[in-house]
Amino acid sequence: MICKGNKASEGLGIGEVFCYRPAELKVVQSYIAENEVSETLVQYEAFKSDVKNQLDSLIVQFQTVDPDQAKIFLAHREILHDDAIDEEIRNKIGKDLYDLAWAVETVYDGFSRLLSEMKNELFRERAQDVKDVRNRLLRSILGLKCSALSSLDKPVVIACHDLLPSDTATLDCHKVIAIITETGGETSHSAIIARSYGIPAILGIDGLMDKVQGGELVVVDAMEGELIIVPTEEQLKEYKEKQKQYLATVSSQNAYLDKLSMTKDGVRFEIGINIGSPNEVEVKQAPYADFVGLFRSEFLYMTSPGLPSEEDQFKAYKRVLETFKRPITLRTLDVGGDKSIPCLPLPKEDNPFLGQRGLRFCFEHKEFFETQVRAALRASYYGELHLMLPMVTNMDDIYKAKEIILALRDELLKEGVPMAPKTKLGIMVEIPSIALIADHVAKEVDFISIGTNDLCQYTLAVDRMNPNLSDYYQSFHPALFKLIAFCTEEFRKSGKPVSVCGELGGHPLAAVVLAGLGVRKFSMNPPSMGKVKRALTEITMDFAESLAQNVLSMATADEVINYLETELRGFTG
Amino acid sequence: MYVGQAVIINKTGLHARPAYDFVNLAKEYNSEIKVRNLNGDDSQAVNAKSIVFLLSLGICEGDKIEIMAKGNDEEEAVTALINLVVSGFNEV
Repeated sequence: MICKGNKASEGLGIGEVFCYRPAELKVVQSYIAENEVSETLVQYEAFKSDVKNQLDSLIVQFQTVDPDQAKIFLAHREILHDDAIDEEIRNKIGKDLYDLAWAVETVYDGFSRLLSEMKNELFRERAQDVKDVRNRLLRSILGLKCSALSSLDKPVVIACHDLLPSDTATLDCHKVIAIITETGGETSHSAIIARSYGIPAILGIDGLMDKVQGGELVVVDAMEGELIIVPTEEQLKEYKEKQKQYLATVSSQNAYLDKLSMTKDGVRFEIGINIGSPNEVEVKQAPYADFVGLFRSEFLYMTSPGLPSEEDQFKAYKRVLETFKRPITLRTLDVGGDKSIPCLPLPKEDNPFLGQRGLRFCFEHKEFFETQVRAALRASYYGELHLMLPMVTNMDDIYKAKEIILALRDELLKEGVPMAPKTKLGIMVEIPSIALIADHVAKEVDFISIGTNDLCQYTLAVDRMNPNLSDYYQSFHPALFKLIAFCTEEFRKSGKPVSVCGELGGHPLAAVVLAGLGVRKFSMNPPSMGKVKRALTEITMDFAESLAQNVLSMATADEVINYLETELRGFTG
Repeated sequence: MYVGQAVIINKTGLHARPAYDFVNLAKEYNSEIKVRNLNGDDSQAVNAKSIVFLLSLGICEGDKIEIMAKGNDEEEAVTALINLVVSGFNEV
């Protein structure tokens, strides 16, 4: 059977399906007979050691790449072996004859309540850890192993309704051959994760979870957006050949990784990477990147059971600066829209993408913003850190944010905290209103970075999460290029840098056009670096500029794509 | 029964790594060990080998705690735990 979906992350994967269905942990009050007590206690020990093994392997896995995350799992292991919890569970089983799941739920909930009622926030946050361990243990008892994406035992193709940030935070990406989902477009969280790890992905496959059961062989052709469920011998052979060719192309692009990005006529580009957690792939590609153009700080909020403290954030930012040894542009908290975070009080809104997102949320909850900015300014001492504000609508946003940041800076100076002498401040250009007043923006900030995914969504009035609208979400719409052209030209008059950190900058065809429009800095997901570097190395500036001018005069996205594919054939493939 | 008291001098108090270090050290002894926060709202003594109970005491910098042990190694246990606390958990 062949199914169609949106190709969200290039590549071709062949493997067994693993169905991820996050299940509700439902436990009912029930009792055991007296003669079942000793058996139940033996089971309890067995499930405990199962969970201990899961945690041990997570600890090993994260120790070097993300020590803070490893520490959380270490803490979970302590809780699992807590003497008091253990004793109470044994009592509930031995004396009160609770069945295992019911005993575990009752006792863990009691302890987590004990902590959640404490006055001090630091202690209160630990209640989440107790809950996490409870869930892990219950999942093991109830046989819901499939919900643990963090403990896959072999490489698989993950099939699910959708992947949430909390699902992917502990996903072992080495064991993911491909990702297929029922919902989500090219810019959903699943897509971004897939691209940042270079995992092939097809999203928005109608009725996917009814079509797969788990365990069957599939081919995920994310170049064509086709999923082949249980391929024939012949198909399998054909796709294995295609996979081989694809891998050969990728490796030829990667040959450009350690080369300077310079056009044939000597115009130099800076190529950077976007990072999240930061993960292994990102760290591995860092030597080839000139800078980190987008450090998404949300991961801290997603992986932490409570709100990350100033100290936690400071340490995380400092570690990123010291690991990457490159200028790092930290985007301040960007939540709302499609990004919700369990521990933050996000409002329920009819139009979340037009609601309290990014900076708007930060102004409403100044305490989160202040904690983050303080942590960032403290970390600035340990490398080159720039601050970047998301979802800026008007000049007032900029004035207001600057005022808060300056006040925090003064406060830290008075406290005698070491900081970089100056921290550059920039904004994301994601909303047309701010793009159109770039000349005024240039007077107030040190740089801008164009977030093409949101700029596209807000220019075309298309909800990028809505799979029914994927035809309308046209990243190559000429209007988008016109807006970028205007904004780039106006801002560059100030002599300050314009970079592109959206998906468009990681697309070799688009990168050439953007270069022709005056963009000299690109920041992208690490797997895109090779192909963009290659494209920019093979052109002259004159050629890029004339190409860009032609694109600006076109009427449709298809026309733009066809034109670019023809003109750039041969070195963007 | 052997009893000792100490004041917490490390900044983070007993909520992160120090709390785990404390519990792990307590677990090395056979004696039954209890701990209470003399500056807490509720000065009830709890099992010192339970991380969750220890957290529930909300022990912060400057708080005075009391450690009580009963068993064949009660004196060693209390002395070792007090030493850990006054050393500032190697944080200070």
